[in-house]
Parts: sequence; C-alpha cells; structure tokens
Amino acid sequence: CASRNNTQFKSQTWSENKKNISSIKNYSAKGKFAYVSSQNSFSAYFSILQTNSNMTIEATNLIGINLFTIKITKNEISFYSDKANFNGPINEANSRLKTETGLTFPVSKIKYWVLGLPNQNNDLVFNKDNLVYLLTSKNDNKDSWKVRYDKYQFINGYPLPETININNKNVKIKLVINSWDIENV
Amino acid sequence: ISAKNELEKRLSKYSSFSASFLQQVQDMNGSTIVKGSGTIQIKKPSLFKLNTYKPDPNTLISDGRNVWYYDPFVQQVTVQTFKRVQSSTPLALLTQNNPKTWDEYIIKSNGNSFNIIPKRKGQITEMSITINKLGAIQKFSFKSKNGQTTEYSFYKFKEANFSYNNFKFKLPKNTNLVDRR
Repeated sequence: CASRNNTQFKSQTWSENKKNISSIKNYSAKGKFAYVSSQNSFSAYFSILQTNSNMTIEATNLIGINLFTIKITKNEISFYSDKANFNGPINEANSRLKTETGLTFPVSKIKYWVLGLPNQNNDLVFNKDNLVYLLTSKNDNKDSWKVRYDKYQFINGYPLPETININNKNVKIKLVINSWDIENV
Repeated sequence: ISAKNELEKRLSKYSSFSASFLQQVQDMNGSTIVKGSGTIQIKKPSLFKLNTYKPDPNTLISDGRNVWYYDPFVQQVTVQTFKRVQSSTPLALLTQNNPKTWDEYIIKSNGNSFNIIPKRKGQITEMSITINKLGAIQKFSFKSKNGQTTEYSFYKFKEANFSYNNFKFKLPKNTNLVDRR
C-alpha cells in the first residue's frame, strides 16, 4: 500500500489544495474507527472504496467477521448486515441508518469528509498547511457535526487525513486511516 | 476413518498450544479489507488469549466463563459470556474438545485440509482447517454470507502448558467497561 512520505508536499493555498484533493476520483482508505455514544460503543476495522460515484464501506470486527456493508451510489444507499438490511434514496441515508440500526452517522457526507473536503455550507478553520483543521456542518436539522482533522499524511504529494474525529452532541466517531491508495483503484 | 473422526483425532493431539498468526480479510472480489498479525494461546476447552499487533493492539481473553475484549483504540473493555462468543466466533472452535461439536457440521477432507460446512444456516457459510497428522494447525479460514473471507495462517505453532492465571483478565486503568452479558 502507499507509504507516508511527506517530502513531496509543498504547502499551498487552500483553494489550490482543494483543487488538488478534489481531483482524486477513485481511492481506497483502510483503517480503524470507533463509535462512542451513550446507547452503543464499539470499534471496527473499515475499508472505504470510492470508484467513480460509487462508494462501498465495509466494517469488520477483530476476528474478521463482517459487521456491516454500506453501498452508496449517486442516488441510493444500501445497507447489509446480519441483523438489518435496507436500501433507499440517498437523501434519506442518515435518517434510515438511524431508524434501522440506531447508528447516528453522517454516511452521506463521508465521501467528502474522509478526504478532508467540505461538502456544502460548512464553516472551515485551517491549519498551518492550509488544510482543513475543523469543519462544522450546520444543515443537519439543527444537529451539527464537528469534524476535526488531527493529523494528515502525504501520499504521492497529496495531503490526506490520517486521524479524523467526527462529533456531535451525542456521538463521538474516531477514524484512523492507516492505508491510502489513490492510484491503482 | 471419516473426515470428521480424522479431524477430531488431529485436533485432540494438543490440549494446549500457542502460535503466531497472520490474518487476512478479503471482500468477495478478493480485495484486502484488513491485514493483521498477532499471537494466540489456547488451553482447551474454553481458555484462550488472542493478542493482535497489526493493524493495532487488541486483546481478547476467555477465562472460561467470560470473554474480555480490550481495545486501547477506544479505551474500552467489552465483556460477553463465553457461551455467546463460542457460538458466534469460528476461532472458538479451535478451543473446544467435545466431539459432539462436529455433529453440527458436514466435514470433507483433502489431505491435511478439512472443509467444514455448518448444517445450520448462519452468518458463517463455510470454514476450513489445515492441520497435519501431528496436530499442528497451519491455516484456519471462514467465509461469511456476504462473500467476505478471513484467513489465519499460523506459524511457530507449539505445545505450551499455561496456568489458569495466564487467562485471568485485569481491567486496565481508565478504560470504560461495556457489559454485554
């Protein structure tokens, strides 16, 4: 998988960084995530595969058993797990996930946030490399998410997140990405 | 001798062993989801300790009654009954020594590799154990309903006698305990 060299990254303006990162259409990101809330806390290994406009998220437990699989296309979400299965329009993705599985998770925005990109009207705070440090997304029916990028890694000259915290008032999600692949995907 | 009896005979050669492993989880298209490594210690019929190093450190210990899962990534310990874990974790098959267990499976063998199909439909659709005549386990793999496969390759497999204390779990400081019993 891709190494984490940071020699080739020259800090640029945010708009140049944004253009650079947005040019990544296909990627795979693997790592571990933690989901902590008062009702349910668990961790799992994840694998995100984005090819053209289709995203597949696989979550696997320590032993290697699949916890769930989420498939997202331009206009549809499908969710598969041992206990619950559903599919529906993409604009209901987050609410369906909540009702069917109890998970509060901004799944429709992961495609942008995992790259360190804002989706729509987000407030942005930048770090010294002109990359997003803190993103606040307000439009989620008064339930705003705060996305904090604690660490970046540099893959073939692209600045990509390594540690991301996605929090709202009830849920804390931590993602650590230990393998990015943006070439042979 | 039936494949089932041969498998049972080989598995019963060791009542207590340790091994290092490489773990690989692949999706139905064969692309890797997780690559891991660690060590496993087993004292039949219900004691085991699994330590992973890659991709990150975790500890899973069965003291025979409860299974403790310590995950420093979340600073959390989850505890579950051994019974519940045994029925949902294929690896636990390697700890038991009750011949009746294998009645619930259709077993076919091909040299040192034993293919194991659960009679009862569940999340795990197929397993396989590669174990030589001396009872050393070389591979253990299972396939889930969604086509995902997990394979453990064992090395440095050796007999080991452990005290019960080896499988006692001590709750690390400042961790959150989630009791799922």
